[in-house]
Amino acid sequence: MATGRRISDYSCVLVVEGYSDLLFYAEALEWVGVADRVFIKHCNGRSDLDLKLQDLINPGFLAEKTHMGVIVDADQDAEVAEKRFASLLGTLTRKETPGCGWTKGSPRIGLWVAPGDGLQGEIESLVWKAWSSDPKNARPKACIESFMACMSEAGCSARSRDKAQVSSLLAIRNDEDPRLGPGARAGCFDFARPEFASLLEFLKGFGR
Amino acid sequence: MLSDLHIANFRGFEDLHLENLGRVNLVVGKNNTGKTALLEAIVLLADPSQTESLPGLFRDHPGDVVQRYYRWLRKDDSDPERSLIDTSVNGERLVLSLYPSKYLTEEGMLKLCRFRNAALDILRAPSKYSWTVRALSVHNRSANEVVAAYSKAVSPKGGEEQIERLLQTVDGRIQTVRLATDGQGNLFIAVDIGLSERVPILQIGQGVCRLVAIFSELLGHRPQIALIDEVENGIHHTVLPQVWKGIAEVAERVNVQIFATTHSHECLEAAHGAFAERASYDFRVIQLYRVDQRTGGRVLDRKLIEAALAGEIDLR
Repeated sequence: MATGRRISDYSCVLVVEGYSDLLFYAEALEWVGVADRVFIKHCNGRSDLDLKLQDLINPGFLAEKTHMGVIVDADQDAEVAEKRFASLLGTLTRKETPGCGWTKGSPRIGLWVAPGDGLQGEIESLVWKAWSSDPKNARPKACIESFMACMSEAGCSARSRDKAQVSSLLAIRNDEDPRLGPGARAGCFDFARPEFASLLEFLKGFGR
Repeated sequence: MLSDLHIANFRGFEDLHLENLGRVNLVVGKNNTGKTALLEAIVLLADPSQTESLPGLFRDHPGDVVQRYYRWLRKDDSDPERSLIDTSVNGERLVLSLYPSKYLTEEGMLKLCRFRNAALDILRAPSKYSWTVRALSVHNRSANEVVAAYSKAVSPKGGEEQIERLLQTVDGRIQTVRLATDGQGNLFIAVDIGLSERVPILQIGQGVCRLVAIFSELLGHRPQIALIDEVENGIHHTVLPQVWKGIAEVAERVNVQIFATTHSHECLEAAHGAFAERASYDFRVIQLYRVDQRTGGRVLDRKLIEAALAGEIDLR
């Protein structure tokens, strides 16, 4: 548990899967200007996330919050992930939670499925797409893709291509700590890229 | 054992349903969410004969029990007919009702009345079901009561060794625990910790005293239901795993259902750990919370407890 910051001191809570996600989304919250009002709770991974949300969310908890947002990865199927967690949040909060976005009323319940826009993947998928779409990154993008192809030919294929590509990038750009969150903190990703718009629009919901 | 509990308009509980209770139930929640009130409700329902001893059982004795205790058992402004505590036993509903004093006519009460005073009439329909209930609170344990429980606990063969074994896991210096007599012929519990003479247990430390009280109560009186308020009180967090192993073992051995309250995360973690090692995981967390003026709650089973611990989610 984070030292010094307590979930009970915040009326806004963002639930994410793991610690690396926490660091990344903290930077994104900072970008939209709401970081100081949101407590980010990571759940030590996707495993048993349904149960962890059941543990966290009870009427007493909700009574103390104005906003509760959840971000999960789509993995193989964004639609399935969205339906599953929207249904779970609806049951736990006793509010109609139709899907991605924020409910009305109090507390406001929010759900966002990475990488956004109904695509499969994870937050690294969005990060890679945003970074690699930037024309100024065309050459390093080609290098990384070439590296990935070479590794694949050598019999080493990544389980998550997007994660591997982002990690490869950060191994060069932020070698002191080549993880997604520290990479975001080190300014390796440009949140002004249009690809991040959906995520940032969701996070702005904490300020509404 | 109680498998479920329903409490309506009792203290801060408007309508609380708890199902799937376990052999050992750890009650958690912020201050003033009703942890102690839950224990009081269980005493009343399970053993209404203890109603008169309820004031002071878990709280400092209030003095004027009518105005400063019983008057506050029914939820303020609640429907006179809807203050009750009930449970299901073998398909039957066992109900204890609390009415304002003189609300029912004499005919209405008839043989049902269990207890009445100027504040309350407490009624439970005749039932073959009742339970022996013992309460252990940080407030109410006198030295003589502990000695009496200890005497009963050690009267079977091997009783002293059993308690010694349980205490040695907490303080390795403890060699023997025996009853001794002082100069006035009063019995007290004395502990051999390797000094030149045995030490009165009150001089050892609050934690060991508390453990002797808990284990003596369970092994000596062998109640069907034991209620332990602030179970971790006086016990260092590093020995909580051993304490809970002892409680788990004794609870199963003497077939007692335990409801204990705690504020401690280490206590919750230690209790879960103790039961996770056993063949049968018969442990639940009862989580109470407040929403405005109402108290709600839920029972968490093994899956939820493990997920909470894995996800570092504070259930207290």
